[in-house]
Amino acid sequence: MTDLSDQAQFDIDARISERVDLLGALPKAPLAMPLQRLELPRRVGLLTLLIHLRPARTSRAGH
Amino acid sequence: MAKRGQDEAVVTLTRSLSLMAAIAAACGGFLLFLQYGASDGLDIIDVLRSALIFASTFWLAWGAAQAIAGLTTRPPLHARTAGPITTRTAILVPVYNEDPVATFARIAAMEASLRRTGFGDLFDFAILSDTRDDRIAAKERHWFLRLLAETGADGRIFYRRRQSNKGRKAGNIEDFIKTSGAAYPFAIILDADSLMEGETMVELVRRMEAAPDLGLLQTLPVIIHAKSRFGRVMQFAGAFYSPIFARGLAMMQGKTGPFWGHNAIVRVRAFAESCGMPALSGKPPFGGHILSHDYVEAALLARAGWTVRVDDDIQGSFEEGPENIVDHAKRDRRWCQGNLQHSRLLLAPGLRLWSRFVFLQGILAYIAPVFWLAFLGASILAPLFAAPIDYFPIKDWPFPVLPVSQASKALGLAVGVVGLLFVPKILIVIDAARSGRAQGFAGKARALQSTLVELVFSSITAPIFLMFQSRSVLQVLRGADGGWPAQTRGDGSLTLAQAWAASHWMVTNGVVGLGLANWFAPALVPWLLPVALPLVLAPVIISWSSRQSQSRLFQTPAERQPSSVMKTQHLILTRWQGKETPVEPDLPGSAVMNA
Repeated sequence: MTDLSDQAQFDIDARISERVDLLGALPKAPLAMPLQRLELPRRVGLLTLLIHLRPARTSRAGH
Repeated sequence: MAKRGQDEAVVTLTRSLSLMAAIAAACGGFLLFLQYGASDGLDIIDVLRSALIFASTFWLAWGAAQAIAGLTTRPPLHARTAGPITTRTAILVPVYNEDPVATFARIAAMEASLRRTGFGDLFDFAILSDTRDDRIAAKERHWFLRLLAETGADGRIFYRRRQSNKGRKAGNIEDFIKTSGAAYPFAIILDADSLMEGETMVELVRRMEAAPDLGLLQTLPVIIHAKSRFGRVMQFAGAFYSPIFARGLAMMQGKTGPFWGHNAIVRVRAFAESCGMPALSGKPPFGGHILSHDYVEAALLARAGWTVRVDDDIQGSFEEGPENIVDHAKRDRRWCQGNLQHSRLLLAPGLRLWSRFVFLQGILAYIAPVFWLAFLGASILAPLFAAPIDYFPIKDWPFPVLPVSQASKALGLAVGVVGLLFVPKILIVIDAARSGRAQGFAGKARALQSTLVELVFSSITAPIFLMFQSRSVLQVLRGADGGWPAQTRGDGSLTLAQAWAASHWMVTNGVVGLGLANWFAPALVPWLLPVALPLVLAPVIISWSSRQSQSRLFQTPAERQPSSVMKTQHLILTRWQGKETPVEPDLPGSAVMNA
């Protein structure tokens, strides 16, 4: 006898989803795909060094 | 070993000759224009314009050299296994907000076609959904169940939807490999609009089995199902010219061939080991996920020592194209961003020199229109920078010295540029007539007529594409990310109002350009008309070309005699769409028998 109070049985979308999950599942056969290196690590060039050059800090002690 | 050395020598020779020819043509253009510009005194604008002519002519000549390389060679014989194939292959169909009925009808047709080869059990389909729209996803699930019910291919057709579309299409494929890659030595990567004969897929496997060093084999997909004027011209051009250009490309690329993202087979282990795609540092458009991942994957496979090849002799590989100029421009916007992003990869560690050159070519393809536009702008403004003509340059000489006209040099340059554009296509017609290939295009006369009309059509639409591409480049340089819009497929006819909305800015530019030329350089107006008039008429051209084509021109072999898988797809699609369709009992496959 059908239990009419069980509303889940009328949710067609949910039942389709369940069925798709069951029938559509991809085979489990994992394969690693390591990330490739495409960018060179940033190197600090001479020009960058010159631009970021700051006066050397000196101690105030003694003044 | 000797054969391999010979092949490499041919590739080096083809590359060198093509490069030298392109540089020679570019130098010729540069010198001709410099002499023309210097006739009234050399100034900085003349040098700038000559440099722009150099870059633009190089690009045109490079394309022409590719066609000539294709015309002067025949496809080499590629190794293939005979007898039954033994390798399991996954057929990957990434989808992203596509029409599920059309996409799944293609899968049903390919499944039926594979069964007819007798090797159907060795091929599995994986529908890899990245669809973001829940309503479309619900339809996908519904049509997946129907696909299974009609094909009876439970356990051979899979469907999964990702919760997050991280990495877009490249991420989608990567996700499959990380989940199921070890189950399949080979994978055929398709697009949602791809269609392939079962025999073609078997042939791809045969060639992969016969060449253990082959990491990726690309086919040349032929555009099918075009209905509009624009679509049919593109379909004709793709079928008639592309095989020749592709052969030239194959001659130049050797083992460092292309990947166009679909209608290709990959060796899954090679792909997994070499093609894990990192996001680039920084924000889009230059940082973030790599949009044109296919070029990069080809370069990475080559970097890892795998051969990447395009075999232009493989038949039965199809795709669909945009039906109107606006959809074409939208797709082009994405490609533009992807190709310009490759500027970040020009110095990527370990890449083959040719791979870097391929990136550069891709960038040039989008920068070249900007060069032309800059050239036109500089030409309009040139009189502002020109020094007044000195009619008495010789001291104490009482008679005026009139400058010698160098207009013939400008005319010669214009003829040369037009020649670079037209001559390869005319040579392709002659070759097709000689080899009998023209028969597939409704005979020699029809193929010639179609080519001539295509030349006129492409000349008229070239300024419109020039504007779209220039705008795309400027948007990318400005930092605007085009995102990942779903492709519009199906009937793409545009009303005049829709065409106006997409191109009114071109009309403005055309009118302003002509007005400025008339103001600053009236002599330039007739030269500018072939560019400015199509811009002024852009909405009319875009709308007109998007309408259904009734012409008997532009016939292609696939249109005249649809292949078996095309017929099957048509039967299934029309039945699924609820339209009346005749049953063709000679086509086997349960999905077809239900049609």
